Amino acid sequence: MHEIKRFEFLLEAATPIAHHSEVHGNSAVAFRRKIRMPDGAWAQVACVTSDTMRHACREAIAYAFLDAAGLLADPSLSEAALRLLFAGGMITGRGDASTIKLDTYREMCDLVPSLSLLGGCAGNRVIPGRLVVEDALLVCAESKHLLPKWIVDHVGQFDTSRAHMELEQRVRMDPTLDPGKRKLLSAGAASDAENRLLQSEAAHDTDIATAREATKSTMLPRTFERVASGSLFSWGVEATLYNDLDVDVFSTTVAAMLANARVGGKRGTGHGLLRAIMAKGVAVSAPADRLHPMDTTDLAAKTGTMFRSHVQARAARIKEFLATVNA
Amino acid sequence: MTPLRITARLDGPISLRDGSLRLDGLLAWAVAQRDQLPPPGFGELADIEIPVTKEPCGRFHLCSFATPKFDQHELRYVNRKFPLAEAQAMGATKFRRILLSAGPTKSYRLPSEVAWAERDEVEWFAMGDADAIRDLLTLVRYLGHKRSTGRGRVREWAVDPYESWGDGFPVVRDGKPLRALPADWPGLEDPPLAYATITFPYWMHSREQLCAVPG
Repeated sequence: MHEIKRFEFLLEAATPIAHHSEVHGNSAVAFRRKIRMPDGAWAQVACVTSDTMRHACREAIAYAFLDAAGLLADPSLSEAALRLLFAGGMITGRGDASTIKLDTYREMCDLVPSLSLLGGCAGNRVIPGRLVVEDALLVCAESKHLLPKWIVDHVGQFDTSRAHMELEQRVRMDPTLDPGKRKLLSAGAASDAENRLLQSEAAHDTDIATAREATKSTMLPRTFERVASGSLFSWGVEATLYNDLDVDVFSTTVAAMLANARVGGKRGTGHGLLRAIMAKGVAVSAPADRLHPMDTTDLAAKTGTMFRSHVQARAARIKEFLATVNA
Repeated sequence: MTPLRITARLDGPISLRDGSLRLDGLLAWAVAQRDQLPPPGFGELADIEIPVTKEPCGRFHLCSFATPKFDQHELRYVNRKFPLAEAQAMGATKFRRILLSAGPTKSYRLPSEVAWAERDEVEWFAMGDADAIRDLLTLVRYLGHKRSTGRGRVREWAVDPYESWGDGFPVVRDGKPLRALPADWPGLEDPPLAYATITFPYWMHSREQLCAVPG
């Protein structure tokens, strides 16, 4: 068996997406991708980066793997095992990197089937992955020409990338400004807080910049861009698959990730929830291109059986492997 | 075996570490994928046959490197963080200290450039079997560096017969090398010289030799 399988998803931002590329002063800027327009002009379109989506896939299958192996109940993973499962491992410089026996490689892929799909470093060698994860690109007027036709047909109406963006401001409150909360302070701390407030008022009256800076409160106003909830994203993921277990691991990875897809920052305030609303599966290297619709709500329920039983059957060896792995 | 022009039409930007792409390397990779060969380093390197003519001495295949011109660039960053939350929740008791500024648990942010090829096309010339090359190239869906994150996506491949420009096709044109060639290769006119690997696997630097290289 040799098949390249591709899933295409139409994702919806169930909550606003606060996925930032950098921070200028107190302003966080949303991730954008440069796009060449059909007329040769250039545009910047918001996206969830492929690195983020790929990491979410790796994290989701790592949890599924630990759960199937019975290691989530009493986890005691080594640093190397954590790094291997959740970050793909690293070349540690320990051990022989010149040649690793083929049997060792096969055993590694057998024990951690997601490793052969996602790739990683173990035994001081790089294992190339077979999974390609693309950016989740905002569905908008600028990206329309890059979207799969079925998404263009489904969405119908397109607005500009700018229209999907919001600029939010938040302030971290200074509890010492609240008289009620100041009553909770010890006598010394309350006195310090009162003095600082008095000095702050005096500095404000005299309008001396250095004194104002020295006595200002710890309130932190900051702004951040976010993609509005309800915005749509087009996302593609594909893998080269060699056997039925590969197929199941691939489906399980994508399904586990989409079952609770949180991306970007500010998750503590509910940001970043993505929901798959439509999907298509394509077998690219099969005799003919097959494009068939998928029920995204059933994806998680119908997959993972083979993956789970495969991992369960090797649970003891997996525990031993993770305890000794060099990654 | 016929003269061919091979074109990859891209769907977006590509990352190239040294500015060129080797067709023979791509075809060898496709054969390795098709035949499910183990990754390099796990056992002995396999001999891989590709449907491109070899030069008379058999040192390399008669196909050019693609050295696309770019008309836009973008700087991106690759972030890598140690899984701190998981370490706190699932780490073993003897795993007590996580140093984020140095050592194996260090976080990093690496710059990585992508670029858009002119007309979104990458082009090679070769002497080879068009149908066999076309079959193998269907397995090559992404080109360049960081393909795992969707860079260098190929929209379509075109493998077309091409009228040879005569002497030197497909590796020398107007006295300039279109790929790494032995320095004494006939037809070269004062080419730039550099240490390079002359055939795949190109990452094997121990095989480097003084070559005429594309300027």
